[in-house]
Amino acid sequence: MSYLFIAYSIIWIVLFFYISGLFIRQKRLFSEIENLKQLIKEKDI
Amino acid sequence: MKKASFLIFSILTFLSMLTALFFVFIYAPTEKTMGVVQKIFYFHVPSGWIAFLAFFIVFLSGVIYLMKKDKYWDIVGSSSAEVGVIFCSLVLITGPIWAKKVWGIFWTWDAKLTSAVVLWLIYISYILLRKYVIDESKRANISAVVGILGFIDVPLVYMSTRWWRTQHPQPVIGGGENSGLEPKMLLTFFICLIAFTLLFFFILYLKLSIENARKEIDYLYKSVEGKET
Repeated sequence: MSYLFIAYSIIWIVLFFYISGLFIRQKRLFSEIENLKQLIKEKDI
Repeated sequence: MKKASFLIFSILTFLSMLTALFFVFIYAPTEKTMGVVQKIFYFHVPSGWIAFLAFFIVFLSGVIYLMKKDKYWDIVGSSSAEVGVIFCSLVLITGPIWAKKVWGIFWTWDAKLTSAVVLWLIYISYILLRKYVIDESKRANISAVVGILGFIDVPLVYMSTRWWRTQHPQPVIGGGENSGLEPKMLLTFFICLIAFTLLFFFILYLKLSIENARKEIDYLYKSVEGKET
């Protein structure tokens, strides 16, 4: 049972951290896009 | 994909993974010879199939990129390669854990395991190559070629247990006359395969949205620089 538990834990941990990492990267990039759009708007005004 | 559609897709993916877990631990019977450790099969094999799918997408994207020189296909290929490496890594981690319990050893250099490691190394080198080639066009061309040639190892990995004598067992699905799974096990396997496929496309979509965001940032920086000059 312990081998099974270790295997499934590794799968879920790896997937959890990888997907979380992607979401964090995505959020940072979207935030940077908003900042740049705001900067462009200010330069237009 | 709109936000609402993406949210529904995310929830569907999550629920499918939970459903897969239910089928693995509650519905599927325990295998007679190996016991509960056999249940690693339900995540180990789908991970492998999804890695193959990911590398097939890299292959296809490489072919289309070389034909059309459209950067979009370079992005699809590189995104799929990264996701494929993750799933291939899961295969290479869960396999030895299962092997230790069943064979008494973590690893052996038989055809199946060796070709699987080679596959993993090919796509690791694909990713590293992209980090070191600075020129965009050169990077895309080289990546496409590596992605196309690297795919040759996928059928080798798949067929290795049929072509050579290996420590790794013969396939239980589509493996010929003496292969096959008990119906409940087969259903559980297909539920897991569907869940992993949804998970793959969910992760791939996330990767593509990140790459598109990077492109948009580059474009916006150029606009800002344009306004400053």
